[in-house]
Amino acid sequence: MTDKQNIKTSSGYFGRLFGASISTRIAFASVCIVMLIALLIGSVSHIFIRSYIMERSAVAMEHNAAFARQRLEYSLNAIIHDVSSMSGNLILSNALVDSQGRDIYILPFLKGYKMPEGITFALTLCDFQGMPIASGTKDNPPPYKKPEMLKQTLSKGLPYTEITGDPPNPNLLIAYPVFYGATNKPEGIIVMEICLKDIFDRMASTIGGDTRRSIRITSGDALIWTNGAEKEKNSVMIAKMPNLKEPLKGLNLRIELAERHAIPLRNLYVSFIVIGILTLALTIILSRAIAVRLTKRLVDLSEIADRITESGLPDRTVKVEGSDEIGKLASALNRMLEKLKASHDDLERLVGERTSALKERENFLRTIIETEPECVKLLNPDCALLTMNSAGLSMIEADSLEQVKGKSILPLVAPDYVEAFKRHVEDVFHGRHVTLEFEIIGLKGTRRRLDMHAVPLCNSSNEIIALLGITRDITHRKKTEEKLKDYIQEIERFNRLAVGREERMIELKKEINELLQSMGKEEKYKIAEGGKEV
Amino acid sequence: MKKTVSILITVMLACFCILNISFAADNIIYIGLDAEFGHATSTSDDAIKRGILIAIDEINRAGGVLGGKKLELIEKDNRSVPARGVQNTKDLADVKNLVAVFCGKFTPVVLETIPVIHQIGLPLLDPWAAHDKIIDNGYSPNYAFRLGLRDSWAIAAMMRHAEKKGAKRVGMLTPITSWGRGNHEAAQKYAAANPQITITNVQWYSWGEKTLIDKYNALRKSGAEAVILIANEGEGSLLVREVASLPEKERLPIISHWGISGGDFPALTGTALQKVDFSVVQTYSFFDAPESEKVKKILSIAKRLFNIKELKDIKSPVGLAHAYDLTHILARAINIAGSGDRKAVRNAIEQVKDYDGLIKFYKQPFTDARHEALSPDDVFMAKFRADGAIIRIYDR
Repeated sequence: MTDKQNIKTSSGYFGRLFGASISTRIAFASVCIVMLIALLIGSVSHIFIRSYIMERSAVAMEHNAAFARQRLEYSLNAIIHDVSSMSGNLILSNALVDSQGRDIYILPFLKGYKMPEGITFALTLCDFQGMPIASGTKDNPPPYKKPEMLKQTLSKGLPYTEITGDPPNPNLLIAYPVFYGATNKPEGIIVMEICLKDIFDRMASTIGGDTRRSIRITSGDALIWTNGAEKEKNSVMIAKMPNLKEPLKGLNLRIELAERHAIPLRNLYVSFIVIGILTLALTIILSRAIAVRLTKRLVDLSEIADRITESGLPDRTVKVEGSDEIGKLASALNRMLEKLKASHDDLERLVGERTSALKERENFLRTIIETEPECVKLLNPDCALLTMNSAGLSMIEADSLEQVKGKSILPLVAPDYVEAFKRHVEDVFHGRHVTLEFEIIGLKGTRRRLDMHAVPLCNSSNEIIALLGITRDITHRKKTEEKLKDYIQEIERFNRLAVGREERMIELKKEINELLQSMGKEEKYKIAEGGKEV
Repeated sequence: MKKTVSILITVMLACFCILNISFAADNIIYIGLDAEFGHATSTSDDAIKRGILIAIDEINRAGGVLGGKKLELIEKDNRSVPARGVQNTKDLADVKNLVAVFCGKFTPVVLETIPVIHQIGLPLLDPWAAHDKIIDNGYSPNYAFRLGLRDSWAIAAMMRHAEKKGAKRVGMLTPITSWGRGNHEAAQKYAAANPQITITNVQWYSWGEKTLIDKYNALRKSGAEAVILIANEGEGSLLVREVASLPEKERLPIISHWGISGGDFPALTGTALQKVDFSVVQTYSFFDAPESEKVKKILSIAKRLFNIKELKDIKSPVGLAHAYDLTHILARAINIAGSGDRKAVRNAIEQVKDYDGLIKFYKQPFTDARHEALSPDDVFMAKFRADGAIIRIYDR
């Protein structure tokens, strides 16, 4: 019972929400199902794709980090190799011990050194105090007088590197001692200052270092360059550079790569949303179209049912298409129509028969009622006359039924009986059977004594619709009964006299028997229990 | 109480030391020497130093200068690096009572120093570096004085020597330094003025080359009949060794500037030196008059000071001789100047007259117009004897 109620409620809700269109409901259900499936597939896909992206991202980052590391190691090692080789070139040592006029060979030599396109650098030959002797790139090169550099290169004879400048424009300063063979000591330094930003930019461009990927390069704990992308805390790939040559190794350079998963994932989410919206729209259109197509035959069936409802059996059967459920339903409906038609025919025939029988019965009853000597009538609760047979009309001295139909008969009831009559009528409409003797005064003034037996008349719903009363004219009988009553009273009086004498006789006989008994004689009279003589 | 006394004594001693040092410093006239002491193969620096020290020894023993002030040498090592030379010169210029500075062998160092000495007004005495522009520097007053060889004189002597050897086509092997360029320029001028001799090819090399044979062969292929070598002892000995290893007919005469005598050339070349027709330009040889009183005196002082026993043991003899004479000229100039004032000394150097030096008698070593104490006539060609001694080649 509860399930039925729930179904009704649900049906009502959806009915209110989507109207009575089953196609809409089918479409809605389809969309819901499709979206549910899409949601499930999308969720699973999302998990897998996200995992895939993360995995690919990690692999790519590892690859990129290795590539970036190799590229930087290669670039920086190549520069170190160049500077190192250059420092051993006799041209440089020769220039250190040369004086006026050395520019004719040292400048072409220094200017002949080429870096890859786009990398800014300064190449300067300095004396033992770090004062520039010649520069291949600057007209007025600055002095390189940092004590640590001079100590490392000139006192220890070792190369020196340092990161100068601040992010985002760090420079790599490489200083190599230039040994002079005659003294076997460093007599000057070749200083190369490279704009690391150029190298890092090139490196970054080869590994997709746009804003999708955060690239940070540190020297020790100091950040020396970043591509400007926001640092990602997750999935940071750190690549040290173990293959850097001395003295670059001392810089402790590290590359920190961080993939910005948000962008591919955002793209993924956008894709999901767009695909979801398209799927939803397509699903709505398709499901609606399919549902309409599917329910079209149901609509046909519905129309046929409507026609059956409105005008009886249709003049045609449903066209059966397909063997699906609707096809089966159409077949069943056709069979039902055939069966209904047969039943309809039977019913028509039966109704005809019953109608004929009812007519006969009605005629019969009508005849009985009309020929009934007693008054048969129907009253409503207001005592208005609904109908009355001819005998009744005679009793109330009406010429026709129309004369009194719909009118209260209370004016015909003798005043002494009106209240009783009304009370009895009410009793009848409360379902009781009543009997009432009363007197009426006919329309023509004749006073009659009537005996009415009234019962409730119910319809098929067992509702009381009228009072059915059968009234007998007992005027004559009443008179007879009064006469008879007089006679009975006379007889009773005579009887009482006779019974008294009999009882006296029994008592006498009892007295005789007692006398006889007292005399020792047998009783003469046999008297039974109750005093009767046996 | 004891503590206070000890502090007072310490303070008094310190004051005494400071005053004593100050007094001593005021009683000394310093001479600076900036030379290539750190150069591995150079002996010219020591020769110059010894020449100065021998002269100072003589002067100080004779009563010093300015009525009793002692001369003292302060040396600086420029390692043949101009930048160091410049710094050393500046450092020496800061020394109180330092009147002049001697330079070493390397022309580039001296050339870089020229602006500095003129800026600070410090007389420069050049006993070796031969670039013409050391003296012809354009400064007036000129603070540079040379008692030594001049490249243009050397080139002329070498060219003439080549001609005498029958080589009218010469090739030139020269370092890619200012010294090399100066000699090249001088050679070009000489060749232009003397069309009988032709420079067939010029090969430039850097200091420290590991081989010069390719350049030598290039000169030979150019048709050179002799090689004019502008080199110091390192590259010169390398060439000699490489040429000596060639077949004899491929060995061209090598006529060398005197830079090779700035080192122990015989030791660097070994036996190869005697396999090659090698000659070197010089301005002085102890062996021209080994028995002269001056030579004996110098040798005795050298023996005392440096444990040099024989003349042949004197390495880079021209350096010693030039420095010796220059120091004596300087001492005379100081006395003429009457003070250690550098400008006065510079002016006095031009006024020194009649100095009978080791190399020659100097009527007036330097004048206002002439800052070369020697002349082309003092230049000659020499060769290494088997024992390493450098001896004059006498023209037949």
